[in-house]
Amino acid sequence: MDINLIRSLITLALFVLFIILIYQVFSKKNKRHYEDAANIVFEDGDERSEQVTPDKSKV
Amino acid sequence: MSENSSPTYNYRVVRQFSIMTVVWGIVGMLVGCIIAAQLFWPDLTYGIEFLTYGRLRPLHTNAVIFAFGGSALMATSLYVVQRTCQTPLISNALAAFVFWGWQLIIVLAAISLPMGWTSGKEYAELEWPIDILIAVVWVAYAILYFGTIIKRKTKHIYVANWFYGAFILTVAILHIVNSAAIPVSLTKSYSAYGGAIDAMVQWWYGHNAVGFFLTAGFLGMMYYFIPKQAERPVYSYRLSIVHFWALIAIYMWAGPHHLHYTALPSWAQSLGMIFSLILLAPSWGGMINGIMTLSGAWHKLRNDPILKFLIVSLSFYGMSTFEGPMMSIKTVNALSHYTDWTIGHVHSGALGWVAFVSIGALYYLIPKVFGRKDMYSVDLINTHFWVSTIGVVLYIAAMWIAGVMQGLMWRAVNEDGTLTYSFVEAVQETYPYYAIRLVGGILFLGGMLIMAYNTIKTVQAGPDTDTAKEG
Repeated sequence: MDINLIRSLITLALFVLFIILIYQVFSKKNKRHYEDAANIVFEDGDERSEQVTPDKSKV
Repeated sequence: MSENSSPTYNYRVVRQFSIMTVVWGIVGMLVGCIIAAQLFWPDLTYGIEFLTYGRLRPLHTNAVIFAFGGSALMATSLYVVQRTCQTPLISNALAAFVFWGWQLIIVLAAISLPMGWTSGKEYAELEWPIDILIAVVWVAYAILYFGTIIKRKTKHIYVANWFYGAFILTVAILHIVNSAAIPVSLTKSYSAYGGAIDAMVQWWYGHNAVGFFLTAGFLGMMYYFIPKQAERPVYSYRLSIVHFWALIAIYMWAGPHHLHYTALPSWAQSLGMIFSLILLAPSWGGMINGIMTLSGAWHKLRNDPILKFLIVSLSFYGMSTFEGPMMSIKTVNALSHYTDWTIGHVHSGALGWVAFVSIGALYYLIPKVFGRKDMYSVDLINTHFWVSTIGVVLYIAAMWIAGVMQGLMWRAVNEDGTLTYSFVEAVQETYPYYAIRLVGGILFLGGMLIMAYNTIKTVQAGPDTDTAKEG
């Protein structure tokens, strides 16, 4: 196969992958999952302490 | 107590890198002020060879990017990865190796660059033995970072870690490929590539040093410290994922805009320009995502100087990521290239974005890792904010005016086709702007000294009384 055809197909495949990514990320089904992920930063207990004590109440 | 046997986070390496960020920031910016002064008083250092502009300039860029920026990235990334994965680093010994290895590299750079030992590649000047050391320390850093992610206790890998991860991985590839060289002695080597290909490899490296070292890593910082300081989750976590993939996919191809109207094939130049223009979309997507995190809580901006640093950093990020694509347009570049406009653009990004977001993150981080809620003085943070904001504005406004003026003077021709101005006439006209730039730089350095004082006082004050004792 011609190398330039392969290059074009790869570009096209990456574009399609990107569209799929956007669809996946913004689909209603995953809304909850990403909201939980956004809250990870607030679930690690007292930051002044070096103890590893995750806040179990929110996990 | 059973608590004493439970695992503890490695705060030691975070403390070490945080303190060194402030120290190297002062050193790097001081060298910057010296070379700015040399442009105004060319005989300032009496022609001593180790202190000439040509040797101090790479020392300045290396110190602020890799010593100041690098330490800030390592401090915050190693903190964020532990807190968001809720697990300690995989190895304290490896963490110590990364810290001391990185400091050794910085010291070697500070010796070798004034000696004039350089490979002559911008932002990759260090000679081959140091390059090998960088590669070793960087791989250790990558093992430490990704190893910690692998054994995380949380299900999801928080988005800040995606950006930090992309930064660590890409910088490894960029550094190893661009530093490939044939050594002829301990202090001299020649690039493994030749001619236009060497130039292209260099600016593939150079622009992605901007894209991944100075952008992706600091976006990781933004995605952790803005939600933390604002006490609310990021505006749109879903947008952050699209932001990530779009940014890393597009940045890689923008390098050729550094080589407009050179021996690089014209199609490659145009390609670089197109990708630079597309880059505006993910850049602004990310900026809006960060700023809108404050949506509904704008009042916090009024009396929280840390948030001021973080949010204003995003304003500068938005400004310079608009300016950058515009300057990559070939016809605009014909005016801007080789002028001080470029220097203004770089510092709007480096001071306004990179330094501001780092300073904001450190003001959040430093008290925490020393067991405190806040810095010693919040008022001094506010003073620092205003001093450095005025400094940046003076700096970039002076360089914009100087740059556009230089570009117009260089291209002016008489009716018979001869040049209207000689080069030195443009230099002479730039003089007052070099003075304004120097004032701006000194103000910014002054801000860092305020930060150093505040940091010393914070460390001396010791932990809050209610902080849990470490195990």
